Amino acid sequence: MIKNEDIIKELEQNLMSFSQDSRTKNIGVVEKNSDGVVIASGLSRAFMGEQVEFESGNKGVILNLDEDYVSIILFGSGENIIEGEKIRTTGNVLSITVSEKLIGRVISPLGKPLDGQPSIKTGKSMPLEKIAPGVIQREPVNTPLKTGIKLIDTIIPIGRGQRELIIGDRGLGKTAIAVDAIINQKPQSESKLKPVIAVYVAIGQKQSTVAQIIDKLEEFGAMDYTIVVSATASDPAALQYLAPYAGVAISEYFMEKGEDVLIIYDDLTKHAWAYRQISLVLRRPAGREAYPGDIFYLHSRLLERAVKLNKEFGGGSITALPIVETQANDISAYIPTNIISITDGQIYLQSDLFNSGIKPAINIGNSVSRVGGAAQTSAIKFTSGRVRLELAQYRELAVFAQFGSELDSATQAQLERGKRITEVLKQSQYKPLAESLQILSMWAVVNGFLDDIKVESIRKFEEEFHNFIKRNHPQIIKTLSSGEKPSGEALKKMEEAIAEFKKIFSQ
Amino acid sequence: MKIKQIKKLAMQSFKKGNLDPEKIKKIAPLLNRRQLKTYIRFIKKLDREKKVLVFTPIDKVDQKTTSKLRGMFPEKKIEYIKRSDLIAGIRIVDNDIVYEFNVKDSLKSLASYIKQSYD
Repeated sequence: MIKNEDIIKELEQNLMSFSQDSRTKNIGVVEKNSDGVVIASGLSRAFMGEQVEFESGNKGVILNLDEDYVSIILFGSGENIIEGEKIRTTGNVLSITVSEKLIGRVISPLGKPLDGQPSIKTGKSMPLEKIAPGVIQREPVNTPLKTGIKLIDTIIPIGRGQRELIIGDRGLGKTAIAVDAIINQKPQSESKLKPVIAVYVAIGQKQSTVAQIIDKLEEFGAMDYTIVVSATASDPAALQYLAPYAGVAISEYFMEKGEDVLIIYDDLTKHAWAYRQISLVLRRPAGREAYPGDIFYLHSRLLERAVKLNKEFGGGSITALPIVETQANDISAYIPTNIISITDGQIYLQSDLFNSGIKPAINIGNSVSRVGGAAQTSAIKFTSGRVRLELAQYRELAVFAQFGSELDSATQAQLERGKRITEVLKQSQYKPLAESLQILSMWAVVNGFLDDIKVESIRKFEEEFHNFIKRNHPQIIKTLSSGEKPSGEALKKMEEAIAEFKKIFSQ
Repeated sequence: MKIKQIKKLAMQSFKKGNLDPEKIKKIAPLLNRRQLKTYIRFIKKLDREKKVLVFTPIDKVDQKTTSKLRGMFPEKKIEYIKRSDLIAGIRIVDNDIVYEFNVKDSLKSLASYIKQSYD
C-alpha cells in the first residue's frame, strides 16, 4: 500500500517542474495501417525501439526508420486506428516494471496481469532490449542447476548461467522436461545451493496449453517461485516477438540482486515465426526460409543475456533453457542449427525412443552439455563417467547384436547391463528425483547390483529401494547429499543396504 | 515516376516559401492519380515544414513575444491561433514537433502519470 504522503510528495515534485519546463512532443500522422503495422509520416525525432502512443489509446514500438516514414508495430489489434490519426513519441524504450511482487503471477510481455489480479505499477523499470554483460562481469559456470531428471543431471548436466537447448519434434516431452526442471527448484531446507527463481515464457502457444502448465506448477507448489510471461497464439505477432525479451528483463532484475534465475523460452521456433511475420510485413528483405537477415542476431542477443556473474557483480545467474521444435527430427533446419550454435549444448529428444517407451526420450548420442560438467558435484561425477561409458559400449554392441550372430558371455553381460541402465534412466513426468537418490540408482546399476533383477522389475525395484533407504538408512542420503565423493565407508554401507533390500525384494 | 522524383517536383513547386501556381498548373496535368496523391502529400508536408503554428489563449500576442518567436524561427511563417482551453501559456507546433508551455497540457500529463503509477 502506497502512503498518501508518498503520493503527495511525488505530485509536488511534478508540480515543481510544471511551471518551468516545456514539454516537447514529436508527433506523426498515420498513413497506412495493415497487418499490425502502421506506417506513419512525421516523427522526425523518433528513435529505433521507441514506444509511441496513438490518439485512440493504442500503443506500439518503432521498428523501421525511413527517409519520410517510420514503421510501427502494434501491441494490440489496432482495428480502430484510422488514416490521419495523430501519433506521439513517448521518449521511452520498451521496458517492463519488475518487483518481487511479480513472483507467482502470470503477465503479458508488457507487464499486464493475465491472472485477474491487480496490476503491478511499482518497481524497477527494466529495459526489454539490453546489451548482455561483458566478459569482465562474468565467471565460468561452476554451480549445478539440478533438473531432477536422472539422465540430464548425470550425463548432460546443466550449470547455473548455462544455455541448454531442448530440441525435438512436437509431443516428445520438451515442455515436460522444462516443467520438471522448474518443479525441482522448490527450495529444500537441507540444500546448500541458493534457491532459484523460475521464469516461464510461453511464445505462440495455445491458451489451453499455458493454462495446463500453470495448473501443474500450482499443483506442485512451483508458482511460489515462478513467473509466467505469456504471449499466446492469439496475441499479435509483436507481443510474441517481445515475450522472451520481457522474460529475460525480469530475470535480469533478480540476477542483479544476486539471485539465480532459470528461464524457459517455450518455444523459439514460434518466436522466429513471429519475427518473420513482422519482418515480411515491414518489407524487410527475406532470406533463407523467408526469415530476415538478422534472425540469428534475434536469438543470439537474447541468449547471450544468460550469464553467471562473478562475485564482484553480485554473483547472480540466468540459466536459459530455450526450446526448439523440429519437423521430422530434422535438426539441420535453419532455426535449430542457429540456436544449436548459440547455446552451450542441447538435449535432443527423438520420436523413435519416445515410441519405444523410453521417457524422457533423450538421444544421448546427439545430446551434449559443453560446460555443465564443470558444475557437477564430485558425488554425481563419481557415477556419471561410468554410466556414459557403459551406455556408449551398450549402444555399439546393440548394433552388432542386431545381426543375430552368437555372442560371447561377456558381450551378453554388457548388453544386459546396458538394458538395465536404459531402464534406470527412464523417469515419469512430474517426478524429479533428489541428487542423492539419483546417485544411488546409478551407482547400483553400473556396479552390477541390478544385474540379477529382471529388466521389467527394475523401475519397481528402484522406487522401493529409494523408499527403503529413506526409511531405514537416512544417513546414506545425508552423505550423498553433501556433494562429496562417497568414502569407502559410505560405499560399504550402501552395499550392505542394497544387499539387505534385495533380500526383502526377492521375497 | 519514382517517389524521389515526385518529391523533387514538390520541392521545386515553391517560390520564396510560397507555392508557385504557375509551376503547379504545369506539373499537375502530367501526373496520374496515384502520383498526384503523392505529390499533394509532399506539398502539404513541405508547406507544414515552412510554417509554425502558435496556439495561445489570448486574443493578441504582444510585440515582445512576437519578436522572440520570429528570432526562434527566422525562416518560417508564424501563424497565431486562439485556443482558450489552454488556460494559460502557449503551444508551438513546428511541423512534427510540439512545444508545450501551457497549463492544460501539463495537467493532462500529470493526470496520465498518476493513472499509470497508481491504482
